[in-house]
Amino acid sequence: MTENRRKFLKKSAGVIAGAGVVSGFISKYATGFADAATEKAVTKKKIRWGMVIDMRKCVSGCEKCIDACHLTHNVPDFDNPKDEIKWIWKSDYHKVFPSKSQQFVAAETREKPFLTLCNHCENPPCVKACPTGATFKQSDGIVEMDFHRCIGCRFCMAACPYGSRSFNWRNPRPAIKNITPDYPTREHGVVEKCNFCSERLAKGQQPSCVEACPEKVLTFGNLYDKNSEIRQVLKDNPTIQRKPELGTNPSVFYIT
Amino acid sequence: MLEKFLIFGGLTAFLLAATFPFWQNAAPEDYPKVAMETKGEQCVAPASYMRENHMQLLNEWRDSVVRDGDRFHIMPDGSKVEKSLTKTCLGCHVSQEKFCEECHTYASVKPYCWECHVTPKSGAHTELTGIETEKLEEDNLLNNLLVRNRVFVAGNLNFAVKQQ
Repeated sequence: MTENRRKFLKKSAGVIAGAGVVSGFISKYATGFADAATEKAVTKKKIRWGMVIDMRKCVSGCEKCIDACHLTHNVPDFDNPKDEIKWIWKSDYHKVFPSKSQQFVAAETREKPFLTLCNHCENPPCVKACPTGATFKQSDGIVEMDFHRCIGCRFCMAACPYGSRSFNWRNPRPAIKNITPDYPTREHGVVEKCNFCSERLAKGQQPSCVEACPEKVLTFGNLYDKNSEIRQVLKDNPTIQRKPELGTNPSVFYIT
Repeated sequence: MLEKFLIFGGLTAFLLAATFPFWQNAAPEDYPKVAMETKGEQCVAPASYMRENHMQLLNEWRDSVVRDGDRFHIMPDGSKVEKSLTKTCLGCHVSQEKFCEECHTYASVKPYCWECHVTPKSGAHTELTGIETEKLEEDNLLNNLLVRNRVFVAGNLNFAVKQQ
């Protein structure tokens, strides 16, 4: 059989038309699934936990939030800045807000130790960096860690632009003064960070730092709930986020 | 005559040595003495299942709590307990050393649960801290817990109903 150009073109046209019909059917069903998937995503995305830190109210010498957090989560204290494990800590203003836009800030603000913790970014770089999936983002916006899965590669520490992650260079157990039996400790060779007290949220409680603060510096709540206290605070006050230029969309906001 | 003695003596010695594993096994075995006393009436799953599959169950619990935030297990009678090794399992089984370790040592298994999870002191858990049947009424759950837990509990209730 001779195959001339005319016949070949006719056949190809038939094949392409057939493929078009089939793909039409497929895409119809596929969009059906996709719609269901988006619907699911929307219902799941009812919660995005966030925090507002009102630094105007924060007292310089007070570390009650830090103590409460460290007690709740068995955070070790190695008494050595190289081994330090940080969940919530105080840092210098210029380290927390290194962007050049923060110029001519009042000395009172500039010299104050600023409260910092994991920002639970909407777009977390640490999650992308983690090769084992030990760090992941929950449907409620919390960037959570599965300590069982962490292999201690520390990619997440390199990826986090806020220094919110710490590595256990030594066995943390001996460095914990009072062990809280309700929460596990970590092992040597595991990374850890703030988890927004997801274990307390599940019981309907506020994070322990929020609860411990006597000055009501910290406001915690659902950023997706328009009627929540946190949204009211955000509406009433000008707030800033850490390194907004990176596009990580932190869930922690500051009133300075 | 001496050769005969040597040959049969040697053979006997050989046979004894060759069958030594059987002799050794014939002795009554020193089985682990697992402490079976508990504070609760029922286990999270039938004992026969737990004996063989507790490690899988614990892995499932771990993944569902850490990954999906499903923190509650529905007991055979429909009540809810926290999916927690330290609170629920060892809140009921009194001692980690006598319940877990006894058997693990015998089987030469070395799970690393206790590298991180805090071993409850023997007898320290006087109350069933993980079991909060009364407190976790459905309304309370719906009010307090996150959406993820609501979905989970609803699913489990359906499951429990179907089971009955």
